[in-house]
Amino acid sequence: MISPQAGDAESRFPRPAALTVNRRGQELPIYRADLTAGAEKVNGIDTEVGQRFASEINYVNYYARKLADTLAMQRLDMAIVEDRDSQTSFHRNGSDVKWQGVVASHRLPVHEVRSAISQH
Amino acid sequence: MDHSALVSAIAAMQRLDGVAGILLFKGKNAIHKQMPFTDGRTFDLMDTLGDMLDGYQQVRRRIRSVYFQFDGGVLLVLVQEQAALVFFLMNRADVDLVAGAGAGLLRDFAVYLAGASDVAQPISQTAPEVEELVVTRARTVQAMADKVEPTASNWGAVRAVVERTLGKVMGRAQASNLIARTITDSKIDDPYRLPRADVLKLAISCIEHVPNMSKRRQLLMELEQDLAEQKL
Repeated sequence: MISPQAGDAESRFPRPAALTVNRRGQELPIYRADLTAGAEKVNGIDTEVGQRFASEINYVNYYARKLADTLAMQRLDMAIVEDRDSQTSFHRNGSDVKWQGVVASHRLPVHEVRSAISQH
Repeated sequence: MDHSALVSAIAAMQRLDGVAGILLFKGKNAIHKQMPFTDGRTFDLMDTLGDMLDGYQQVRRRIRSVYFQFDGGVLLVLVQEQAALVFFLMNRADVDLVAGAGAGLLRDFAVYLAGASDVAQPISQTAPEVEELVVTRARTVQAMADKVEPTASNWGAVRAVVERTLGKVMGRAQASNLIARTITDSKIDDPYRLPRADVLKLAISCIEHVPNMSKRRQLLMELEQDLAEQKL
């Protein structure tokens, strides 16, 4: 049984300052996840958010595979999940198990997400 | 805000550049579906997304949207309470624009959607595409043949031409839905029983639903030519 990462804003999804995107141009921390080995963060240190990031990718990928079958497509290239507390975005980094992305504390337009991820 | 207003609003969004299909559902109830594939596939899609959103609900995450970019297209899911508005987009679509329009629609129809059922609607409410006929005895066949009314209409052939013509500016499913809607709007019970002149009128009124004036004019000319070539 696969389940998504839990998300209570205050107690279960900590949002350290490093994850807050500054609209004045502060860079988003990039996470890299190898689904066989967990997640790592490229900028800064935040293990818990990194693990949640990997868990989110797992969950979305599970359903994306089913959706791809239905839509007669081959693979998921990128995904963005937005809830009331955060927005998690990730894209494929060369293989099915390697992904990289960002976690933002508020909604970013898709074109901004794309450029934030592709810069790395 | 009633169902027809909702359908009109969704139809307007379908005209946004790069929108290939739209599905609005609540629980197991497909409130509106206009996807470029079969109903079976649409319901599979709805079930998968429903399961995914249920998972999030179980861990008390209030999802607002999920964006899937596949190798061949994009699936954008906007969520409000139990209702989900799904867009199937081509890569050229402006996702932020579509997301904004979709979020606006969900807000505008929030009260209507809150009152909508989340239970799957009976299959009988959707028009069957293929009618099954079970014949048990030769005498029955003869009896049915005797009762059959003469069907002089050439609607089958004309419909194929109309679908082909509409197919130049929209997907096959969309064209098929448009024809069905035109028949319903025209209060025609069975186009196969229409006189020839009315069949042609019906074909023209299908094309007249194409919003772009120059495309519409071009399609009407092509329809006329094709029908003349096929002596319909």
